[in-house]
Amino acid sequence: MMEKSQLPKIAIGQVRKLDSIDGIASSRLVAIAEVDAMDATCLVFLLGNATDAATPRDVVISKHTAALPYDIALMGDYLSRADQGRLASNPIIGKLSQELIQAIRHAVDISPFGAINIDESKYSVEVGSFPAQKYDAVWTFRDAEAANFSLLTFVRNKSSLNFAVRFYQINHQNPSAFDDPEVNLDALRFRAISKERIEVAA
Amino acid sequence: MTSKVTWRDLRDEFEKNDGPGQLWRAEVKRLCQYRIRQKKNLGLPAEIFGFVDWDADDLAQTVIAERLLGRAQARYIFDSVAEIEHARKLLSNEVSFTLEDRRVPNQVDNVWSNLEPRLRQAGWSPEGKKSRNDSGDDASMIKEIVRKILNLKRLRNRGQQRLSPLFAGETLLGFAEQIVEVHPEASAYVIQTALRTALAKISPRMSMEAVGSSQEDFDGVVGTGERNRGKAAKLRWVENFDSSEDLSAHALRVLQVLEQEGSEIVFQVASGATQSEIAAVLGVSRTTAVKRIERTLELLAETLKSLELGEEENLKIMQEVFVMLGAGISDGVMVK
Repeated sequence: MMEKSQLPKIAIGQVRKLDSIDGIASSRLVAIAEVDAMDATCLVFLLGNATDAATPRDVVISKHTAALPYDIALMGDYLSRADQGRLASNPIIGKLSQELIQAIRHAVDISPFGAINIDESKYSVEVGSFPAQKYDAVWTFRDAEAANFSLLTFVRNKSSLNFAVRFYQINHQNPSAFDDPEVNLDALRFRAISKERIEVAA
Repeated sequence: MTSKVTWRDLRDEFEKNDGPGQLWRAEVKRLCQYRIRQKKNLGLPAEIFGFVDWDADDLAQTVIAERLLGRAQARYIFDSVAEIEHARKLLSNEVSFTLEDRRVPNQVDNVWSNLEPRLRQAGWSPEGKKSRNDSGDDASMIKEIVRKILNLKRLRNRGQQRLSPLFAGETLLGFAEQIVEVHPEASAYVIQTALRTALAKISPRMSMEAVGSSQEDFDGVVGTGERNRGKAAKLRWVENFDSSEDLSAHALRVLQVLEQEGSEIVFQVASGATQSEIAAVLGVSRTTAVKRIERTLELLAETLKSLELGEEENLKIMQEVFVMLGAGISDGVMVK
């Protein structure tokens, strides 16, 4: 088995397992949609094996396109943020092209309701064709997937103290990262305090 | 009894064999046994799922060959799972999908038997139509008809019963009229092929509610499914009836299975009460009432089915049930 340090860096398009949270949420396969080094997080799309029940909001990706042993359904509306640390220790299972990921993100953004409009032949994918109806059981399944995914992921708040702590921990040895005008003020304060302490200690 | 197999055991075995081995097979078989028990309780014969009889080994073999290996779902589970409970839920899904896939021919026959008379009513005739044509015309026509079928309004049921209709009669008549108008040349072969393709998409979706995210199957596997056990116990109790007992005895037992609230729901439904009215009678919200109505009607159907009598006898039993509930007709309306 490959050592953690040998595993390739996280990059857009990779398909990896997002680790479970013991007793809270079970693991899922995800496709990386955006990588943010600032706080070591990334945006991920939820993947699933329910290709037969893929709705027009999902994109069914063949095993050849995804370099996987099985077809997979990418759930277009299930995009959220995860810690890179909970992906990095798992190997790359498959790979989607960056263009495909961007096309799906764009298609989902411009049509929040109804079918995703994407050039199927260009990307060798298929938009789900199951027209779900009001009382269809598929909604229950999707609800459960959404609930699990929301526990595995989070919404980032750049103004929060949590974000500031995380930013500081990751970047405290990289002064240039603090030059960004969008850096959280608390993060700047942490840096100022620690710098002062180092000077006092010296 | 709770299985002591861990996810690590299954994972190690998969890595060693580069595929599912004996431990995986044992897990699948355990789930198959549970699912077969469920189907038997519902009185569903194995034939409608394409099996000669209910045999957990046969079903497990089919799941492994068609789904775990054939569609590489064992690899998907290996790639995505970290706990045994999660693995069992996904395996349970596979058992469910296998059964649904194998039921499609039966469903096609069922829908076709309801559709054909309506096609004829709409002016369609099988005579003079080619039984099979491999040209691209047929392929595009089938594709269009499939799309129409997928968009037909489906009845709100899970399709779990042997002959539970997927579409209301009116819906099928409308569909038949569309076929006659847009594709008058469509042969029985074309329509049946379209039905088969569409139902192959519909079936797995219909089984999703009961599996995948539900704890129920797992509870059933490890033997802690209290709700299912209670339900099964009632059904077994019903199964023990002597078929020669008179209708009153059957009716009385139906009422006992339904219990007081269920009997009230059956009466209210029969008298044409709306969901809101039933909710008011029960003193619950409409949403809760809807769930209880659904559960009661399922229980009633299962109970009647378990008696293994004909439609006519079932009708008489229900008449007797209403008599016992003190129902009568006043000004054309059923009252108590």
